[in-house]
Amino acid sequence: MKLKKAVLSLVLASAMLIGGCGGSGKGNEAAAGTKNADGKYDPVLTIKVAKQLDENAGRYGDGEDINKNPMTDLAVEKLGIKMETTLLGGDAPNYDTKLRLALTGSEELPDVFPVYGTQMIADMIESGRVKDITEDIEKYMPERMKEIYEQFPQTYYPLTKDGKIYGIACAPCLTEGQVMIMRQDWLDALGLKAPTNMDEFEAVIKAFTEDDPDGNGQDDTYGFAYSGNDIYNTGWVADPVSLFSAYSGKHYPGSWQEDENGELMYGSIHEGNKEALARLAEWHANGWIFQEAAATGAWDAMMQFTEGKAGIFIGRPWSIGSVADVTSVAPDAVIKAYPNILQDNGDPTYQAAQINDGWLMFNKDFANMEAFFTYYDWLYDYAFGTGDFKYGYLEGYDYDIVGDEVVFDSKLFDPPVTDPFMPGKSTVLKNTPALKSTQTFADIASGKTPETGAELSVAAGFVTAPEMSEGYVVAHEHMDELLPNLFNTEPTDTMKKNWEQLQTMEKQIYTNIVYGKEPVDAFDKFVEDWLAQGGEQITKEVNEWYKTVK
Amino acid sequence: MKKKNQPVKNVIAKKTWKQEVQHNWPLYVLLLPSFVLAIIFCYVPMGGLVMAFQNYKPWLGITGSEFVGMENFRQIFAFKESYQAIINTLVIAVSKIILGLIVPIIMALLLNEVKHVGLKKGIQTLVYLPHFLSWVTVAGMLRDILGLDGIVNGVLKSFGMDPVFFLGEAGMFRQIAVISDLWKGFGFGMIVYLAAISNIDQSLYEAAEMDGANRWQQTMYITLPGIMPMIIVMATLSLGNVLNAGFDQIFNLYSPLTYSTGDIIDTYVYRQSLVNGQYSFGTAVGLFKSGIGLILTVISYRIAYKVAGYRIF
Repeated sequence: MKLKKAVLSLVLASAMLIGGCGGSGKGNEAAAGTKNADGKYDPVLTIKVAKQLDENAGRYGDGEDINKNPMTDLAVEKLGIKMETTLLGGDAPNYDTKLRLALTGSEELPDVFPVYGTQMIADMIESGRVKDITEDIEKYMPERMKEIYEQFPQTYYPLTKDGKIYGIACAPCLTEGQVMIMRQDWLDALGLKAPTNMDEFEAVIKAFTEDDPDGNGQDDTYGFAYSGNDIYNTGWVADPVSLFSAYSGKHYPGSWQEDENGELMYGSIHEGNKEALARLAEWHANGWIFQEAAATGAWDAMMQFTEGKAGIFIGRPWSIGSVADVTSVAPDAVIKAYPNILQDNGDPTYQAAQINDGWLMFNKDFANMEAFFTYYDWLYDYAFGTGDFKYGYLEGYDYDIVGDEVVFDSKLFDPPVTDPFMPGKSTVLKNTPALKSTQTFADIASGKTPETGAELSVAAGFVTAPEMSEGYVVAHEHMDELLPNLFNTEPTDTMKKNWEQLQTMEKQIYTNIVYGKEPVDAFDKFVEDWLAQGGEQITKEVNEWYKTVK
Repeated sequence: MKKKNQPVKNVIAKKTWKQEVQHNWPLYVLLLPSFVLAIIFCYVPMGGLVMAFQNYKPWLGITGSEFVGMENFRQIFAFKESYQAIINTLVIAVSKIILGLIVPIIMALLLNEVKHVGLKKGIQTLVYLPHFLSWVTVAGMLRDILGLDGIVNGVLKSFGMDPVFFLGEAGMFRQIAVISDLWKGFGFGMIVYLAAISNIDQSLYEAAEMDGANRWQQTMYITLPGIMPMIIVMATLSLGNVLNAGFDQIFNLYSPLTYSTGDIIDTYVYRQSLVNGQYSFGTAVGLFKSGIGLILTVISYRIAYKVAGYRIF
């Protein structure tokens, strides 16, 4: 009998445990908030947001978290708006999964949420759970922001269906492109100049490999580090893309651009890239370029430069900071950024433009678009150098005033801070909105007296990391070489089915040609196969879409 | 007379199911939680398999999504690349299963002959350790070891041979995958067999020695038959993995250069699903793999039962 009683109580206890995790009630406050005389929301209005965590957002202080930190406090204090993160994703796939779960109803869809893919946007629109904000944009978006968005009409393409707009791009701004980053000390040691075309490039990587640029008497260096384990267009670091563009112009791999008839064409099948592959294959066989590129991701490939093995890579200006450690293996190393090489006819080489990192979409039941735009505009204050944010968002976090000087390097703060909380990365956006990413660098470089926070920050950068700042100046001079991908919406029907298979084919053939496993002429067969196995149909579908937005 | 026997027969007859429950109900109640959990976590989610036959949209749910019949399965076999992936999967997985069965047995038999207890335990621990390493770590080590500046190429160079980019050679990828998997996993199997060996009745060996059997004969006629049931269990269980070539491992080792021999179903589907949210396709592939796995497990179990008279259940 004792046993039976014990068992009974055990069962009851576990039943209670299981029953405990029931569903919570749903509260939907669709009422719009009201502003008081100071322009603050009173009572405090809560906007629920989603956020994909950013590993560079710094450390929270004691007792602080994503929903309780100086930045959220400031928004409550200044605007009467409480930004509450109710859906938090770790890395990109994790965040996407959570958003999709929110569509099934097992997680709540927040009021405002960033979306990082055109397929997800299409799913959101199709689900009918997101808000048509066509009129809200007209009504509530502040003039100064309308001007920004009008510069980038293509950011609305994926968000538009049947003439209705279902979101806005996250802080659109033409991001700086990649530059050619070189070991200046190697160039100097061999009496060479930075290359400006393919032939000069070849001469330099040959010399970097064979003429012992580091002067240690060993055969331990080579010319060019790139990544070849994906399509040959990484878009951030260790990118070989301008070598391809040197022969294919606008039709570099992985991009949809207009051909001479105004029809969109997929770059990877452009015959110019065949010549580039032939060149790379020759260089590979000679050992002038990274020999393990095919099995190495972009970041690791760039590390070849940091390890003092490679003399050139192509990457965004910030990557100069990432490879600065090269001085630990080569104390005399001098890093310098150069413009990318030109085509043989003197035209520039092109690369992909990045305009926005994601889009913002809104819950259908969200009734406070005005409040959202108030908050969003407030975040833009820093970029415009107006209102609350002259030098940055929060003194002591992203900037500090020491004496009468504004400093941005947290090591120079008073007191110095390591890894401070980064307000600009803690909001619903991943980054602080900017107006013109590189113009400021050019202005400061040409002697402008820094005034706004952005300018002061850049001016400080010229002191702490001059090579990187010079890199931005170089990038700025070549902004017109950045081409947005003209296919910019959800994948077409055939793409959904065949795209991965075509990409697999492309990666295989490109890499096999470079590695000499297949003859260069295999490229022609690839183009044929690509078109036959769905590529032709996809091109047709892409152009049908393109006609609707052109 | 005739009627008197009737009740007696009833008492002797087996207890009915109802009586059995009435008598032992505490035990059944104890069983209940795991039974319920198994239903909740293993059987209820199987309802989601319906997705494999639908064009599933999260916001419409399983009940609202459109049925497309076998369309998703057709897509698995639609491309040349899929066949390549299936073949690669089979070759790699079958090699892993066969070697993963034989090598641990041999190693267990060899180690069983080691009489020095410390040495035996030491080896046992050492070869078991890699089992706990993540493939990300092991793949990193392999990249270093097999890289152009790695130790293997160092040896090749010292013999005056040209260095080989091992991880970029399609012809070597499967071997590398199988051998590294074996290195990582055989310690675990070995311990299982060592445990089985230690369960063999020692008097059998004594009797065999009396009859003049040498070590080899003892191994062949006592040890091996003694652990045969365990071998059959392991073989039967591993056959369910015939379409699992090991995503973690392959994903961390392969590259476009080795797609032709190394791209497996799981990695292919992974890349495919990057195009996004292809729940139905993913489910169809999962169901296909489980289906084949189930069939093979059932067949091998039947054979094991017929040939060796061994039953797991």
